[in-house]
Amino acid sequence: MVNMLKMWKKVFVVFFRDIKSNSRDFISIYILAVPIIFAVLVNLLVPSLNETSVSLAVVDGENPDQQSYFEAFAKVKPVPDVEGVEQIVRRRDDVIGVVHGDEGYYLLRQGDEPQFLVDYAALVLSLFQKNIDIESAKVSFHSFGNNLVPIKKFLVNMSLLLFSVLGGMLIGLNIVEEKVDNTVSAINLSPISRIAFIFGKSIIGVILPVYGTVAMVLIAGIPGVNLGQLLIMAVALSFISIIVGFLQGLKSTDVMEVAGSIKLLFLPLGLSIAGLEFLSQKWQWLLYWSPWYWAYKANALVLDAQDAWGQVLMSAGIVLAITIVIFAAAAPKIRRGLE
Amino acid sequence: MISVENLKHSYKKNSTFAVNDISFDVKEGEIFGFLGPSGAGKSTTQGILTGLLQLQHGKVEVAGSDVKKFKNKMYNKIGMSFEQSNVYSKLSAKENLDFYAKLFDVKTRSSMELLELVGLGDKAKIRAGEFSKGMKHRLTFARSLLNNPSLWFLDEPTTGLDPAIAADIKKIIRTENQRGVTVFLTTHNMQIADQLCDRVAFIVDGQIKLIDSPKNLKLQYGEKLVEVEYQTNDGSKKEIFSTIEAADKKRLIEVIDSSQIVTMHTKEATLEDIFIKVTGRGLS
Repeated sequence: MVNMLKMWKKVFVVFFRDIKSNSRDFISIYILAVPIIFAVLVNLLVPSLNETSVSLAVVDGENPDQQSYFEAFAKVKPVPDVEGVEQIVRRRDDVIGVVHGDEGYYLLRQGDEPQFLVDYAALVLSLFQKNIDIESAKVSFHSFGNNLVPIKKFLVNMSLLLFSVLGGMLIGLNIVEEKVDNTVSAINLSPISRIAFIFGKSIIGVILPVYGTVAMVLIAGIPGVNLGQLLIMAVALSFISIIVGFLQGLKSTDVMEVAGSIKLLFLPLGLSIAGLEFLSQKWQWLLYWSPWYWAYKANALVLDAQDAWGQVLMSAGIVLAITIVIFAAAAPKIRRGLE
Repeated sequence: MISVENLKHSYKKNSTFAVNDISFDVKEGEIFGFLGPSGAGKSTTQGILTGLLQLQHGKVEVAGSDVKKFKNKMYNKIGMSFEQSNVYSKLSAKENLDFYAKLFDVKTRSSMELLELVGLGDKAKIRAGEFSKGMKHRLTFARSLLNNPSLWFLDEPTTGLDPAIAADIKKIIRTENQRGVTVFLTTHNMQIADQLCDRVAFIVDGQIKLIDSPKNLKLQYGEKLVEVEYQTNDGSKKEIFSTIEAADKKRLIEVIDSSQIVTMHTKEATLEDIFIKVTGRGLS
């Protein structure tokens, strides 16, 4: 017990040394800041997408009952006349107009609104026309399963995967620092075990994706998301990046070489995302080897605020299984490299 | 403190040995010099003694432990000053020492005290990356004393230092030795070995040629050497001859008979002379 405490004390001594060293290096500081930068960028690049309620523009006072009915299901924007509805619909925001024409009410849309918003507006209009009120409908109208708009969900999910890779990159940079300064030999002649040294070096590889996930959820504002599920995936995925970080750090001779070689991970990461988004279901098995595929898939469900425990646990299990295979292949190289 | 029996080591794991069947002991409290030219096997031997290299053949005990069964806690007793400085460039001198101090399980010396000892007290807050080669070397040297080692490995401790600093380092080594620290000194600098070591081992081509105290070696070889400078067709040439070895005596007579002598005088042998005489090799 005392020995374990001593070991963990040394693990954190190594970790805090790395953090101190990272805080004095521009590339490391930049990597540590990336989660916050990305979260802010997601907010800036995807304006007004935090809310997923449907906005309907109507001519004020034209049909008070309908307007009042709509307010129960959507955000209603009353305007003085039909031209006003057209103007508001033409704006960049996803607002759908409800205008009275010769054959009754019709929906006025700009054309680039997400289909689920249009479907929702059509449904609400139909319900009103069929005199179905909330009580008699006994149906909850919250969403079509999309907690976030697709582009925001894509950016957030991709960023979460990227943070794990950045954790590996930081480890690689710290290992290269040890190599350049030739300090591994001094560490090997100190009373810290190799496993404690490796743990100490690895912590940042878990911390960065965890802190990145929390920062993204808090700063980008993702309603109703289960943070615990996202963190499970972040931690599960971080182990592969840690192994790759060690391998690349031990292989490389300078900082730029590490940055360059870690970037290679972006290829399978990108392929996994593209495959999941664009490949038909029957070809998805082609990506089953990729841990990023499973992480992206599980995160997508979590970001939709759906019941994702099954998918999260299965994906995390598969990611860990892939990690074990990679670790078995990489461990001898890491051990030799640290001698 | 150190016991080595029939040590062999091959990097290629074949019959080409960097260290070939060497045996020696280092007694507790002595300064033992391991002397030889580059590539002689000094670093390999030191690597095995410190556990950096795996023992392949032979039996090695260090501070009462078989190196094959070395545990990390052994390094609480051992200090190592490397020839190549190895400190964290992005950390200050004090931060470097404080970091390593936290890795030990035993009481450590104050980092400021050690920095003062090696003349870096006023540079404590400066990052090691901004240090000169000599300052980094001193910082590496100071680090090796953090844990009050009972066995202290020193690899070329005065390399790259100016004479005044080198003298300070030698003084520190003597002081630590007087406190009971056993020192294993690896060097090709015969002067420092001569000044510090209780005993020296000459190693060449992976084999120990001689182990004795500098005093005994000088008694054996000193006053029995003649340095002769004589003229040849290519200019003047200097040679050292033993006055007791038959081959040297014969050669000396030949030189006197056949050449014009410029200078000739007896000289006290330095360790370097003795090394060359015994091993037939220079130190560079």
